[in-house]
Amino acid sequence: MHEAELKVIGGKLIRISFLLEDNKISNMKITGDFFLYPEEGIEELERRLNGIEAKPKKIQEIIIGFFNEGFVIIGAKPNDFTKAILLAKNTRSS
Amino acid sequence: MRIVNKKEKNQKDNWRLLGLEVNNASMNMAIDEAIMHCYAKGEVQNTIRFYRWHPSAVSIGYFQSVEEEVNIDFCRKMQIDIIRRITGGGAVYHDYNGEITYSLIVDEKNQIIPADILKSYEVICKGLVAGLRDLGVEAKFSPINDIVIKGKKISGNAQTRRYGVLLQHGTVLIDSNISKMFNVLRISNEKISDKIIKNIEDRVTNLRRVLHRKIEFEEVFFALKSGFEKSLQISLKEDDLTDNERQLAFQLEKKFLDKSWIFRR
Amino acid sequence: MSTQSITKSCDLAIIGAGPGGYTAAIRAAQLGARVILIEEKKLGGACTNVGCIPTKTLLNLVKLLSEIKKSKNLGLKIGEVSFDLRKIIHKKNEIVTELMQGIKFLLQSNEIHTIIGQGKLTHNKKIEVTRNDGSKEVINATKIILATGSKPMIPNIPGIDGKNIIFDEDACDLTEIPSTLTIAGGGPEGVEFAYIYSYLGSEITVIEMLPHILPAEDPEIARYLQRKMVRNGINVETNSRITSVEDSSTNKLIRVVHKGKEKTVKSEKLVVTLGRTPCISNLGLDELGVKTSSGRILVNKKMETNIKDVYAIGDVIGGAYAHEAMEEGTIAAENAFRNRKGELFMDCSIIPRCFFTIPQVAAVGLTEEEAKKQRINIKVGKFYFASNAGALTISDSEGFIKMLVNAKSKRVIGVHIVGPNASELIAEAVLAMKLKATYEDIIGTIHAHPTLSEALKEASMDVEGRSIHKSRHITKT
Repeated sequence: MHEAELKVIGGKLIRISFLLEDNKISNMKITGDFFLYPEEGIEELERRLNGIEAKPKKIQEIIIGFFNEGFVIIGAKPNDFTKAILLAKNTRSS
Repeated sequence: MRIVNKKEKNQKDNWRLLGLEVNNASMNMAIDEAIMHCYAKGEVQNTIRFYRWHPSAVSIGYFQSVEEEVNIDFCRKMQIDIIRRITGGGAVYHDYNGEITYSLIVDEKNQIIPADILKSYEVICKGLVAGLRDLGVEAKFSPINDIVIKGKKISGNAQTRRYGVLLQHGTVLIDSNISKMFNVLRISNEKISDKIIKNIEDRVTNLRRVLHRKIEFEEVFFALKSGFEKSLQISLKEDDLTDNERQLAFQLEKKFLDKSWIFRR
Repeated sequence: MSTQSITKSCDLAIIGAGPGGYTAAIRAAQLGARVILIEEKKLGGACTNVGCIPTKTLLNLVKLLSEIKKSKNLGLKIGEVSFDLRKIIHKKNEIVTELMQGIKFLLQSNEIHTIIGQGKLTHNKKIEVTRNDGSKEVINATKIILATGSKPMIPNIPGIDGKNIIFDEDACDLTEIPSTLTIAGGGPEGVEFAYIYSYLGSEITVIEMLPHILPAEDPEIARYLQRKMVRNGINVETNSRITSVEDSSTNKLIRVVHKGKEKTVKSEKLVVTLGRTPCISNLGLDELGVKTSSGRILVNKKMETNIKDVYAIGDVIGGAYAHEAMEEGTIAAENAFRNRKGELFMDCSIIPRCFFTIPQVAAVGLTEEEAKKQRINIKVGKFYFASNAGALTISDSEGFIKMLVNAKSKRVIGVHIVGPNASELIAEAVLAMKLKATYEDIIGTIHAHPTLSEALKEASMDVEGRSIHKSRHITKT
């Protein structure tokens, strides 16, 4: 299980956890006290991140693509999600 | 002191005031959502609602995970309800004896609501700031969604916009048992990493502390009501939920009680 | 039955010995009149026997019960608190009897002649009295005061005359506490009975037609009390009208319409407090030609009816309070017998209204809405008992005082109180209004510390935003 927390300066907390198998992401879970509009977008973002290769470029592509569709994030920037996922990738708890 | 001038009143927008109610957690959330639905259908007018939570409860934001935010065992032992909100934001302990919650439901396109979400938090929170001023408290809006007094948080707020309707709800701490709050909630170290003072009691405050006196919930209710009226330039008239809202709330309550909703992430 | 009627003469004959009647009798006697007082049922009228006195006795008792329960949190050790209903009713009856005997004694000591019987006006301004044994007498009085009071109004609702239905005058004679009880009418009587029965163990539902209980009072005050009632486990159904009452095998079924939708409230018994109506039947009003309107006797501000030397006072002219009747009785007696220049007028704008709920409610003068209707520009001052030292020392600090003043003249035009001892505190406000005092007069009056009365002074100060015990933030640049 890869997990990480990122406290956005002047913003909110993002928590990431996922499994890595053959460098592929699964069971992506993004939690935190940020605000996302519409709220259901979070499940969509997680869905899009599952199954992809845990490469920074690919992750960023998915995230930017997602936010370009009009989802609004309050308390973080799209990049913060990328940062948090990469932070999680580089740590491992169990 | 209030000067009532009949000319003034005619120019203001008429809103509905619901309050000061006491319900359990799931019903409180169900009512908020029911009002939104009925508002969207054009059945009810702009509404501000004030309520308390009985039994005391903890609500987590839409994007949070119960296990990460709440001491589940402690809540079970103390019979504190756990629910998930439809709004984002953080985990909040709603102490029956300690805080008052408001919700505001209005058309997203209403002239007093900026389209920009950050700005709209400020506009609505300014109503609370004005209300607190009536109580003799100098508070400030602190972006993104807090109200602070000398840097200590006294109010947290969360907003959602759905089907053209805006719901913002938030709390004002009146006399909270801060140590209980921090037994209920798991506080992440990361969250306080960029704060100079680690002592939890220095981060939040409540009206009783600030005013150095006992204060009745009704007095806070009235002051916040006045604050909204002055700040948003509206006129609040007390009324009840409609039967439709009540019935819908009973239905929606099931969702908030459903474990698959509460533990969805 | 005796065919021979006795004729008695006097200066003043009064029909009705309730608070209005007996007060008028005593005042007139003090002014030298020979008075005959005629009473159909019991001295003291509805107030003493089945109204104010029994209800307030029971309300003060349940207040005591709630204080005892509260005192456990204050460091007192009190065991299980319970009650003996028979003893409570017995004590209530004792108090009623004591007061009634007191009135009897006062009448005797003022040499007022009392006759128990039904009085009826005749065409030639005499009064024919029929006693219970059928004997009659005729009273020939120089002046007459009609003070026959009111009786419970029986609404036109199918089933309202069924069993297990109690009207207000019988609601203080409980032989048992029903486990569930519905109270029709959320006005003053209804809410008071709700408190009595609720504290004695009934599960109560109050049904009120208008948007909130105490519909005639300031909405802020009334809704505050309503919330407290609900918090105390009393169900309140507002905007609800009773359409019929039926019976099931065990319960009364009260059919209610709420905003167009029907529902049924079930309870063991129903108490009806939907108002009272003046007692004008069998009074001979038509015989003498006394004018009435909407069921009440018409009078001017001097308490005079359209017939010379005939006055009317109290509930029979549409009043609702004992103290109102007492004042009117005094005015009528003075106008009838005092040799003075100028007559006395009844000022209805300063009649205090008191409700012995928990917390109590009391008010005098105008509500904000009434002031608005009269196009009076007002300023409002408000003060919560939570900031009052006196209230804190008695651990009873829920509630507030709201003061309305005329913005131009600064005179106090309305005071509304919900909180501890509101019924006593209101007296100062009534005096202030009587004396046409300004809020500054109240500010300038020293109130003892620490007492609840200081809250009125603070509310006055709040009119100018200068309460001492309310913090104001200091604007810093």
